[in-house]
Order: sequence, then C-alpha cells, then structure tokens
Amino acid sequence: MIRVDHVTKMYGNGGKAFAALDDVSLTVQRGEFLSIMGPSGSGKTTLLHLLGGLDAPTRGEIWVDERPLSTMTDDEITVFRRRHVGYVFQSFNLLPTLSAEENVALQLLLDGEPRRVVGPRVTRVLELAGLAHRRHHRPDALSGGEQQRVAIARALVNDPLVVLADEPTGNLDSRTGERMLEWLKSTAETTGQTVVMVTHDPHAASYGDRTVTLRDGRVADDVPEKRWRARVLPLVF
Amino acid sequence: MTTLLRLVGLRELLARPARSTLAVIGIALGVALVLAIQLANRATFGALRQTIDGTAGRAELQVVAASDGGLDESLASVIRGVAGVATAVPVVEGTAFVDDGRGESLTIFGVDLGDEQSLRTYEGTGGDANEAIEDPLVFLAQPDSVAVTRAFTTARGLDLGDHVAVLAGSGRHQLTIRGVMAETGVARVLGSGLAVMDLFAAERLLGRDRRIDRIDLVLAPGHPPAEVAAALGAVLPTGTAVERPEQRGRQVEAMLTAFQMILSSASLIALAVAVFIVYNSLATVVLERRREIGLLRALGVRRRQVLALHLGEALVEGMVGVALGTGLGLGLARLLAAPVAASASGALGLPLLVGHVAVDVPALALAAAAGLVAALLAALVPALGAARLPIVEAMRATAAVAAPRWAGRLLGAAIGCATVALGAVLAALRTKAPGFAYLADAAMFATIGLGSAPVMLLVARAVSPLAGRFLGAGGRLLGESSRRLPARTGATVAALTLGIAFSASTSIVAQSFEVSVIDWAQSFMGHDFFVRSALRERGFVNAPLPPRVMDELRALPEVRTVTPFRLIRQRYAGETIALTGASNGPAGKTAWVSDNFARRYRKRAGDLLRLDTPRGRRAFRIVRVDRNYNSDRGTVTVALGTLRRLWRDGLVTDINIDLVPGADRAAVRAAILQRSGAEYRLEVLEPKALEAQLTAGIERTFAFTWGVQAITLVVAFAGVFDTVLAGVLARRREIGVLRALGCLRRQVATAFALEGLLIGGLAAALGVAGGLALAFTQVRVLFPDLLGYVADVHVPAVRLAGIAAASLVLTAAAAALPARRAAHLVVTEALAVS
Repeated sequence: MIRVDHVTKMYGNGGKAFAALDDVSLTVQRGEFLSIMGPSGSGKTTLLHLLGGLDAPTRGEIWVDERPLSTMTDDEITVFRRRHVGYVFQSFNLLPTLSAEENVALQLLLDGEPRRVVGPRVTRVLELAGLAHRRHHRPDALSGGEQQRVAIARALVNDPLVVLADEPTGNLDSRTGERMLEWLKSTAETTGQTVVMVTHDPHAASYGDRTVTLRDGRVADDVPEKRWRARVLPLVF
Repeated sequence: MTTLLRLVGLRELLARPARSTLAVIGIALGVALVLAIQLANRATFGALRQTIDGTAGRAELQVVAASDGGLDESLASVIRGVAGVATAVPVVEGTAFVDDGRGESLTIFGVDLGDEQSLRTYEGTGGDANEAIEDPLVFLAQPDSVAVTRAFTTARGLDLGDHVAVLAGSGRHQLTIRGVMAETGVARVLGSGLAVMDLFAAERLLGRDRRIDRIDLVLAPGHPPAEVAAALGAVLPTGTAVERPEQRGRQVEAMLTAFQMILSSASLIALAVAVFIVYNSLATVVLERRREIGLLRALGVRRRQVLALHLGEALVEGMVGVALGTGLGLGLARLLAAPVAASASGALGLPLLVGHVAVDVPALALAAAAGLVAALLAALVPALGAARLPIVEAMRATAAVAAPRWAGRLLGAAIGCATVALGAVLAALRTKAPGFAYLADAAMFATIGLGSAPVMLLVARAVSPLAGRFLGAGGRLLGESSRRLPARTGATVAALTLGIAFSASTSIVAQSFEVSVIDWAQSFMGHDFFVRSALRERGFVNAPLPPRVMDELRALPEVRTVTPFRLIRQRYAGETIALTGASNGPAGKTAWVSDNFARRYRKRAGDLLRLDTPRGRRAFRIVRVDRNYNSDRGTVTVALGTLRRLWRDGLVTDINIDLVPGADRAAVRAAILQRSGAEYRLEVLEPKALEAQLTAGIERTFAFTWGVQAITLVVAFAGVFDTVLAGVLARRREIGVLRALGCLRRQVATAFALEGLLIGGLAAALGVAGGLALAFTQVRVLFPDLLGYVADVHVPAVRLAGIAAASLVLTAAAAALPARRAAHLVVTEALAVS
C-alpha cells in the first residue's frame, strides 16, 4: 500500500543543512496499522508529512497505492489526499467557525460532492463517533475528547485508503485516548484501511500491528505488534 | 513604561514593517491634507487681506457705488466739502487684457495722480518713492499714458516709451508706457497685473462715461470715521454707501470661508479613513500578540502598562506619520495654494496674489495634533481590549470564535444613529436649516462607523452558504475571516465605505450642479450662436463689449436677430449681487429674481424690490422667481433698456444671434470672427460648445475634491490589502489544515479573493447609499447655505455604477496578492504555527 524507498529529507542549506530523515525505507501493507515511535526530532512527523504529500523528499521515492508521489503535480497530490487520505492531528485542528457536522463534511464539500450525498455520510460517521447529538456544536463548545472524535470522523468520512494520525491522543486523557485508539483500530479492521500513527506513547503504539522506531532520522527498529508488546510494555507498566 | 515600549513595542513595530508603514502612510496622508488645505486657505485669506488693504492704501473710508461704475465723478468735490474729509480721491478700477496672444489681464487703476500721492505709494525702479512716472506732465497730457510694473516690462522686453496693445470695454487701444513701478506698495499687492492710468484716461479706456467706482477718503486728524460717515450720509445721493475698507472683504471672506469649509471637510474624511486604518492595524497586532500579552501579564506587567504599551506604539506611528505628513503637506500646500487662490479670485472678482506659502505655526500645530489624536483615538479600543484580556484566555493558541457580544450592541447603536440621520435628513429638507443637515451628516458617519462591523458579520453569515452552493469550496470558505475578525474587517469596510460615500456624494453634487446649470442654460440656448468676449473679467464675468459690436453683427446679411445681454454687479442689502439686463427680459418696472436671491433675501413673486441706481433708488415688482447661476448671492433681471437708462451703461456682455433660414453656419461664424473677432477677441459658440464650457467650469470647481477622493480611496484600498493579509496571517494554521485535507491552492486563493470582494461589495453598497443621503442634504440644504447656489438633485447612475464597479475591481486587486500568498503557504510550516 505504502512504499518508502531510500527517502532522505534535508532542511537548511550549506553547513547548516541537516537530515530530518536519512535514507529511510519501509513498506506498509494494505489494512496494516503501523505505529511510528521515536524521540523528539527523530523525524516521525516529517515522515508523516511526506506520506501525505504535504512535503516532498529531497531524495528517494514514496509510493502510495502504487503511485509514485514525485510524479504527481501539486493539484494531483492535493486531490489524491482529499479523496484517499484521512488526516488526524494532535491538536485536532478543527475550523473554529464551522459546526462539528460542517467540519466533518469539509473534505467531501471541497471535492464538490452534492449535499444529498454528503449528508448521510456525515451522519453515519458522527453516529459512529457518538456525536450525532452534538453535530451542530462548534469546536469551542466541545470537550477535547469530543473534538478529537470529530477530527477522526472527519478523517474517516471519505473512506480513505490511508489514515495518517499525528499524535492523535497527545492532548487527551488516558481513558479518552484509549477509546479513540480502539475506535481507530476497529474501524481500520472493519474497512481494511491502512493506518499510520505517529506517537510518543508506547501504550498507544501497542495498538498497531507493527511499530517502527526512528532515531536521528533513521529506522532504528521495526518489529511486529506481538514482539513489541512483549519487549516494550513490561518496561512501561 | 519606556522600557516596555523600547523592549517590546518598538521591536514589534520594526518586526511588522508592512503594517507599521501602512498605518504611518494613513496618518501621513491625513495630516498632509489637513495641513495643505489649512495653509492654502490661510495663504488665500492673507492675499485677500493684502489686496484689500493694499488697494485701499491709507484710506480710512470709502464711498462706493451701488453698481459697477456707478458714481458720478463730480461727487468727489461734494465730498471734499464735508467736515472731517482731508482728501477725497476718485478711483476707477477695471480690467483690460493685453492683446499679445496670451491675453493676460491687467487691473486698470485709474486715479487722480495729484491727490493719489496722499493715499498710495508708487515707487520708481530707482527706489525713490513716488518717482515711478518719468514726466508727470506728459503722463497727464497724453490719454494713452500708462505706468506698469518692472515685472511686466521685463517679461515682454519692453521699456519706457514702448507701446502695449490692450483690449477693454471700449475696444482695442494702444497704450504708451510712461512709467515703470517697482514691486512695492500697490504694485506688490497686485503684482505684474497692475496698470496705473490717469482717471480720465482710464474712464475712456474702460468705457465709463465720467463715472467712477469709488472715492477713497483720508480723514482730518481728530475726526472719527463713524462721525464722518454719518456726515457723508447726509450729502450723498441714494445708492451710494460709505464703508471702511475692511468691510469690502466681509462678503468675500464669508464666501471664501464656505468654500474652504468644504475643502477642510474633505481633508477630515481622509483623516477619518486614516483612523480606521490605524485601528485596523492595531487590532490585528493585538490579535496576533495575544499569547505575548498573556505572557507579559503573567510575568507581572499591569493592565495599564499593556494599555500604555499599545497607545505608545500608536503614538510612535502617529509621530512618524505627522513628520512625514508635515513635509508632504508643505509641498502639497504649494501646489494647492495657487489654484485655490485663482478659484477664489475668479469667484470673488478680486485679484489675489499668493506669493510663497508661509509655514504657519498654528496650522502646523493643528495638523500635528489632528494626526496624533487620530492615532491615539484609533488605538484606544484595541489597546483597551489588550489590557482587559484575561491571562488564561490570552495564553490560548487561538481566540474563541463566538459571535462577539458587542456586535448586537453596535448594531443597535448604528440603527439608532441611522434613525437620527433619517429624521435629520427629513427635517433638513423640510426646514432647510443647515443645523439639521450637519446633524444628518454626523449621524450618517456614525452609522457607517458603528454599523460596518455587525453588518459585515451578518452579511458574511448569510453569504457563506450561498456562495458555497454557487462557487464551490472556495465560496464556502467565504466570510470566514470576517467572522473570525469582525472588528478589524468592519473597520476596513467602514474606511472604504466612507471613501466611497465621499466619492459618490461628490459625484452626485457635481452632477446635480452640472445638470441644473445646463438646464438653466437651456432657457437661453434656443439660438444659433452665442457671441461674447473670450476674455474673463474678474474670473467668471466675460469682459464687456462696446455696443458697436452689435452693429457689426447686424450688418451681416445672414444674421436675422441680435439679442444683447448685460451683466453687472449690483449692491443689495450690503452685498454684491448680479444684475442682468435682458432685451427679452421683464417689462418696465418689473424684475425677475433667481431662486437663490429669493431664498437669501426672503422674497417671492409679487414683492417689491428696491434697487439703488445711479439715478436714485427704484422699485421693481418681482414677477418671476427662476433659476440663475450668475451669482452666489442671487441675480436680478430687468429689461435691458431699463438697465441702460437707469444705470447709464451702454456695454453688452453676451449677444445671442439667430440666423436667417438656410444660412451656412460655418461661413457666418467665420465671417464674424474675421470681421470683429480679432479686434474684440470674440468667441462665437454654438449651443453645444457653450454647454461644454459650462460643464468644464463645474468640473474645474470640483477638481480639488477628486484629488482628495483619490487619496482617501488609495488609503482605504491599502486597508483592504492589509485586512486580507491579516486574515491570511491569522488563519495560517487553518490554511495548512485545509490544504492537508485536500483544499487546492486555487480554492484557498478564491476564498481570500472573494473575502476582499465581499468587503468591496458591501462597502460599495453602503457607500453609494450613504453618498446618496449625504448628497441630498448637501445639494438641497448645505450648499445653498454655504455657497449660495441652489440646485436639483440629479443622480449620475452610470458614474455611481462605475464607482461601485471600480471599488469591486480595486478590492479584488488589493486582495489578490494576499490571496496568492495564502495559496502558496508551505503546508507543513502553516501547520506548525501555534
């Protein structure tokens, strides 16, 4: 589903240049839930940005659904993201003047979908998120957990091939965070969506099928979920 | 406090140079206009007083005629016999034109040179007082003698004994230069346009039949002017008045004041726009600095220090703006002074020479104070908002976006002001009282200022879903910035609305006067040609023509009828009005009066009107009140024969010509010009050409306002640029999110460009509506009161549509650059904005 092929991402020029990612290669299978871990500055978020086409690698190639991103124009990548990628941000990033319903509908509306199509799909994901009764509320009237559920509903409303989540539980309490992760995982399993989640939290990472650890822009570790649980969780709890 | 301002405030100003520059430019332009108009006005007033004082010389009293050339020359000897009169000097003052292709006007000063020495000084070029005339005996003996200024002879390469051809009321004359004056005394006041002649020679040149304009009096010591004036009243015939020289300037000053009030109000509008721009700029700064303000408060900075910090920043911007504006204003004043004086000179019938524009300390202080007060006033609301921010709320990344509580209150206040404005407009139209009109204008400005933000909010809410339906995703995001930053967007709408309202009202006023004047002209346009002198005497009045011109015209076989008119100045109730003699005018002892005359002097048809004539006071029954634009104080029309007989005036001002059927118009026109054109410098106009001349005259009158409008609109459009750019900066993270969710660059750009268009569209709608309301009170109430002219309201629909369309195009253009910037934000950097 996703293939990262010898990707390097440099920032800065000349002597001040540094590699946020340094010759990273990995593959993510369709339907797989991949957790990416690593300390601050290890390149996690940069990798996520590159996977979503928000930024371009300095070297190397990224393939999503068999399409090399480097051959696509900015508009093509944008439309691809709109139709096939769901994004979940750490700080929710809901538009403050739009209601929960409008925030969820945004991607479909941007794509020019008619309201008769948008309405039922938005209702369905809001019901799944347990927020049907809060659909007309604005973000500032919702709790942090509710806001993140709206953000996940927004990421899922277009039935994306890939969900990219950047610290989705970073601003939530542990109980709410767990509920979010369970929902994300169950939805991915039900629909066969690929999920790539960046996190600091080993417990959150344990929801993944596999965990890749980055350190100084390189892949330091790449282990399946069972081995990960066995190796890391006893150290945490 | 200064530490905080130095550490935080000044660095902040330098860190956002574009916005600081915009605020400074706004203040600078406002200050420049206020200063320039003040200085130009003061220079014109100064020139006016110099002219009046200079031409009066040492005269303490003046005996003046009721109309042009209306005093009998022999009156001087009667006056000399009155107790307290030391010297009585008869004066003829008129205009002649140098016949050298340039047609420069000369103020002909005809005096009795023997008596004149006691009144005024004419200095010779050698520097000796009263030696301007080489040989007084020859000067008096030869009626073609004239003394001119050194500047006049130098400009033309002339010297003593040389000849100069002039055109005057009696036709073309060759004068001989027998005196050259240095630019001192009267010559300094009137400049190179002064020509001194002997009284008798001047009377002949100007076509006066032993009649003079005034008698200047020097009083004997120990005789107060009031006492002598009373004694003179007993011996003078009806129709003559005794006044102090400074009284002559009063009507002129009143008119000048009205004219300058209009200019000053235009400069205040520019300053008001600047206030909105500074407000806008600071409101954006406060929004962007919320976290910093929270941090400062958390670190122990007091609320009043936060308030002072923001006011201090505005003061710094204001001071820089005042410094720049002062320099700009001084330059602008030099450009404005000459046209303002020329326009006043034309309207007032007095030669006004503005030398250099003096740097006037009170004017500088006023302009500087206006700039600083404007900056502080603009900063007050955002500064108070910053000071009152709760610390925890300020530390949040973004502000809550609930509808502001003040929106409802502002809307209520705006509706209240609009109601007051409407009531005042109706009261003004009904009572014609200028007080109601001023109240209406003030209430309308308050409505625009208070109502723009809440109306913008309402419109943004209403338009957003609709735009989404028709314009796609870009349209759906329309109005977002306005909803996020309603006060700032509202300020921009208010600034632009003010600019457009000012432009629209000026256009309507100009159109109203243009159409009204043309309508008036239609009443005498049913002729084939209009013949008159191409030279203007004292600005707007055409130079008079001798009656033999009519004989020459009648002699042409193709000419069927020749209809002459005469226009002179007449004193009425202590003011100068226009008196017209029309060959097709009212019969016998009846008169027509203009509507501005009827309004000013409370006369109507059927009333008796008493006019002082050289043959004594005469009564005329008013039989018609009609429209006439000959004078701001009003026009009285009598039969031409009556004017000739009672006012002893044989000259003509305008001649209407009708041709025999089938006549070749072009050939007749050529024949008139060939036969009489050169000698009398005639212009022969067809109705369309006359209409074009009148239209051009009105446009010249409003020319000053176009410049002010342009500056106001430029500042306002810069505000649109700033507002949309601020929207982009404030919504960077949102733009990043939208782009991450699949929003195309062009969709982002469309949203912001449409935001600019929304501002432009709303401002255009409100501005045109406000302009219409302003124009109604100006045309119907204020201008008749201030300028003396009455007009009907005519709305230039095409021009208003043009203003609205131009504002849309310009706002779209102003928004284009920030919209492009929004579209090209780097998504990952935008997402990183906290």
